[in-house]
Formats: sequence, C-alpha cells, structure tokens
Amino acid sequence: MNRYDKSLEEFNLIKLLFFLLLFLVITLFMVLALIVPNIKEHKRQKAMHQFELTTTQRVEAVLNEKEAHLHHLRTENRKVVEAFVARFDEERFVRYVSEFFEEVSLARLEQKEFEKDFTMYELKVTSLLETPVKFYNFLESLKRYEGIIKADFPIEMRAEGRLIHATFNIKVFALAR
Amino acid sequence: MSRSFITPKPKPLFSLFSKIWLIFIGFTFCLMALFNFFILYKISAFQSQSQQLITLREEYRSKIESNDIQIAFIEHQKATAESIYASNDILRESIKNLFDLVPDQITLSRVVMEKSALVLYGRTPSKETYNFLLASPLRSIFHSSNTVFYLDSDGWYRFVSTNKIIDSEGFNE
Repeated sequence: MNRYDKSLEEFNLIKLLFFLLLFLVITLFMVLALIVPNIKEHKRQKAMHQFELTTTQRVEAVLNEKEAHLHHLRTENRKVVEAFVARFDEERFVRYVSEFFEEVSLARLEQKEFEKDFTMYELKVTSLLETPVKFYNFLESLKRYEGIIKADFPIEMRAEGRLIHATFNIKVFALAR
Repeated sequence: MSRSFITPKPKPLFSLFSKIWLIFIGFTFCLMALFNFFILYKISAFQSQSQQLITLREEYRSKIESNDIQIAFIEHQKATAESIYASNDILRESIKNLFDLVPDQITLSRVVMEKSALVLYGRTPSKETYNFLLASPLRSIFHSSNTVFYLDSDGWYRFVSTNKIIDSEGFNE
C-alpha cells in the first residue's frame, strides 16, 4: 500500500456515487439480462424433467406389472407352452399309446395350418383294446402327454373276438415353425 | 539540480479507494457469473436427463409391447390347449354315455361315430327290446334315428341304427 495514498481518508463523494452507480448498473444488468431468464428456463426445465420422471416411473410400473404377469403366465402354463413347442415323435407316441392299446399303428393323413400360429398334423390310429375303459383312460391321459393332441372323428369300434378293434383320428398341434 | 522543495511521489493509475471498489465490483461480477454458469449447468443437466428419460421410456414402451404380444400368445396357447382338452373330455363322456346307454340284452358289434352321426351295428333278442331299451333314448338325443332289422338264423335280430344330429358342432364341441 502506498503510504502517500490518502484516498481512503479523503474520499471523493462524487467518485463514491459513481462507483455505487457502476456497481448497481452491473448488478442489475447481470440479474435482469442473465440470471432472471436463466432461472425461468431452469424452472421450466426442472418442471419438464419432473414430468418426464413421473411419466417414466408410471411406464416403468406398467412394465414391471406386465413382466410379473408374463412371468406368472409362463410359470402357470409352462406345460402347455412346452407341449406346443415339442416336436411330435410318432415312435414315442406309439409307445405311449401302447400303454392302453395293443397293436397300435399310425398313418399320417395331412398337415395344415391352424389358426395362423399352429401347425396341425392329422393321423389315423388303428389299435386293439380289451375294454372301452382303456379308451376312456387314453382320452383322459392325453392331458398329461408331452404334446397337444385332440382325438377326433371318425371313431370306429368293431368287435373282434374278445377284443375291440378301434380306429380313430388324432390331431397333433404344434407351433408353426 | 532540484527545482522542487518536495520529493516526487509515485502517482498510481487507480487510487486505493478505486481499487477497493473495482475489486468489489469485479468480485460481485464473478460471483454472479459463477451463479449464472451454475444455473446454465443445471439447465443442461436437466435437459440431458429429460432426454435420457424419454429414451428410457421408449425402451420401456417397446418392452411393454413385446410383453403384450407374448402374453396374448401364451393366453392363446392356453385357450387352444384348454379347448382341446375339453373336447377330449366331452368325447370321452359321450362314448362312455353311449356304452352306458346300451342295455345288457343288446350286443353291439360295431360303432361308427362321425362328427354329427352315430351308426350302431348289433344284435337284439327282439325288436321290442331294442325299441323299448335303446331306440327311445337314442331318439331323445338325436334329431333323426332310423333302424333296419335283419332276422338272424337263431331268431335274434341284427340291426343297423343310423342316428343324426342336425346343425350340430359334433359330439366333442
């Protein structure tokens, strides 16, 4: 500090007022020209962000709900979903049917599209059975088979000695590949 | 040779008073500029976060659409499987009911089930036994029921009974 500087002791009032005015002008300019518009923009962006956040949280909640529903459906219908995906194996089916009938044979009739998403194979089953009860049991057991199978017409049962000769159609449903 | 009685003093461009004021004004200016930059930074952060949220939401929406498709497909599979299992159950019950319907006196030799028709081949001790014990229940189930009898060598009758359901989806629908 200059020891000869007497500006603090002998300050000029005009100079003081000039600096005060300069200070006020600069502050006012900064506040009005920059800070106020930016604060307004900040408020607008904050509100917009809050809106986006709330909307996204709602959409996320819907997504979580859907995912939980999908998971529940997948778990609950796992057997059905797997059954539609399973590839139909004629030999395995004959082995399965042999648990109920004797002398089972299969003949493939046709394959066509079913309800856009599925393929349907139609087969004719020829077999011998001891009592009609075996046929009821077979129809009942189709629920537990690894594929989706529908027993269909025509169904013919003919007495052959002590046995019943049965001929019927089955429709095997699988996902269209 | 000096021409003045006082020694010369250095004369600064700004006096201490001016310097203090200028430093104060400069400091305030800097503080406000800093505050302004902070607000600008916050605005930019909000904008960027909002953009991220919009992208995230679009991602969620496409996942929801994909989940909806999968849910609809699983429900469709479930409905198809249930209708097939129900059809098998109804068929089983229909066949069971048919065999329960046949009295002990009458013997069936052949049964043909079509989608909306049933043809029975068999033997009965008399036409009356057939008409009383089997024809009546068949007539109550089917819209049309016709039976043809053939006399056998042992005095029993062979019969062919043709029964039809009109406008029906079939036994298992």
